[in-house]
Amino acid sequence: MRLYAFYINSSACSGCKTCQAACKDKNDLKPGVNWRRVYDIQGGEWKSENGVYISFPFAYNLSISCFNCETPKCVNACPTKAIYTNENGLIVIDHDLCMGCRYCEWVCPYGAPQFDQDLKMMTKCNLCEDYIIVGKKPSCVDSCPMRALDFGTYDEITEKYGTIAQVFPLPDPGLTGPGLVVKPHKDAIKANSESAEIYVREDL
Amino acid sequence: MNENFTSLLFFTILSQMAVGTLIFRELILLRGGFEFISYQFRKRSLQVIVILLFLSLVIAFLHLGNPLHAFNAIKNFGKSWLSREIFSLSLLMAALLLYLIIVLRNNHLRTERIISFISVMLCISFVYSMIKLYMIPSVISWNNPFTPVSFIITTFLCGLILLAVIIWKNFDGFNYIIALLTAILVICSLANSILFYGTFLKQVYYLFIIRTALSIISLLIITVLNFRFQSNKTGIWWVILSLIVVVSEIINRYIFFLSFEKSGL
Repeated sequence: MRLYAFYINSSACSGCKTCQAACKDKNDLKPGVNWRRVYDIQGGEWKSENGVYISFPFAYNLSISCFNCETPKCVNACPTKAIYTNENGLIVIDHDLCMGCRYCEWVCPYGAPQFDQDLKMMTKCNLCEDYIIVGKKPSCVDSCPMRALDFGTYDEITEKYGTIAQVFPLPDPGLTGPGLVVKPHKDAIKANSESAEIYVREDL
Repeated sequence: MNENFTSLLFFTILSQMAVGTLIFRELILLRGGFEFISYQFRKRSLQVIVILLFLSLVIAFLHLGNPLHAFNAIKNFGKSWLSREIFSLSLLMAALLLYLIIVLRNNHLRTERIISFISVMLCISFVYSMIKLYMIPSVISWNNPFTPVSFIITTFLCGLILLAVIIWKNFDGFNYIIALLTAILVICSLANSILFYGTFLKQVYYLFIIRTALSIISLLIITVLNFRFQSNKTGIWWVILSLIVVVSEIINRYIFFLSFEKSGL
């Protein structure tokens, strides 16, 4: 059963990365470790109209973190049982067990587990557990100036925003059952047919 | 390719080579009868396999961020293929050490047969676990039939060629069969990689050219060996052939890791 869910309004997201910065600040993350990442998706094509070529570019953003999946690949794949679902229903990492093999990094289609070069172990978003157990929302959600993010129980979020969880370049939600609802950007429908790509990957 | 992949590249090649050598060794023993095969061959081949497997195990540790926690690695045996792979490898290592002790004592042929059977079963379990752990649904470039075919071919090809280097003096009769099998496996390996690379071939065409050249040289050496079976100077050719085959397989595995591409993010 999916306990919690994030809502991402891709139409409203301006790609400012305040959520990413708030997450890094709250969790004291080192450079290179981004529990929340804002993906910049761009694409488009040239079309000929009456002998004149006109460009039709599009771009949108997606703010991605751990979605506390229903069938988490990371939990099943971890050989040491370092990644587990805790008493609050959140998927977390026990650093007394993690051996830093990075297999969870391979199996997660959302790129949630992140390797910490100093710790030499995996780390991941814990949905700001300390906040949510006292009824607050994760720092990324509250920091968003565009109010493009929301968080709540899965039932609350799906009731408010529907159940769409797939938009380019997100994977098939059937793979892991993520706690995620997306409001796609109006141009996201073009992404599959018009060679959209994730830009500036080095920022992620 | 990051440092994580580099050690995994050598771990997979060396461990598969050790496993392949062991499987062919046991086939030879089964065909020739344990008591009729020379003690020197039984001892030397097993020593090489144990050293190779131990080396692969050490290399595997290099890719871990925190090797001190490695003793937890079989905790998720029920769900994780990585756990199962590590478990199979640990059991195989233990079985081979026991096997080696028995062979060195040279007076328990019945026990040798039993431990030989157990070791081969563990080899199969190990390679199967390795295949399953690399066939990750979210890694689209690996989750296809070319991955198991590639792993199985490398296991048999590298194993066979190492065994040929170990036994070339002792088993003239086998040389023809080994040469023929090697040629077939070299061709299969190249064919599998051509199919696997697919659209990815454009990015690695220079490596593919090197690999094709090495495969052709391997086949030429096998042809030369075919005419020199009676000569007692074929040893150097087997060594050269084995080096070329292993380098070619390393390039193939390098391309395999280079092709890493996830669906999603």
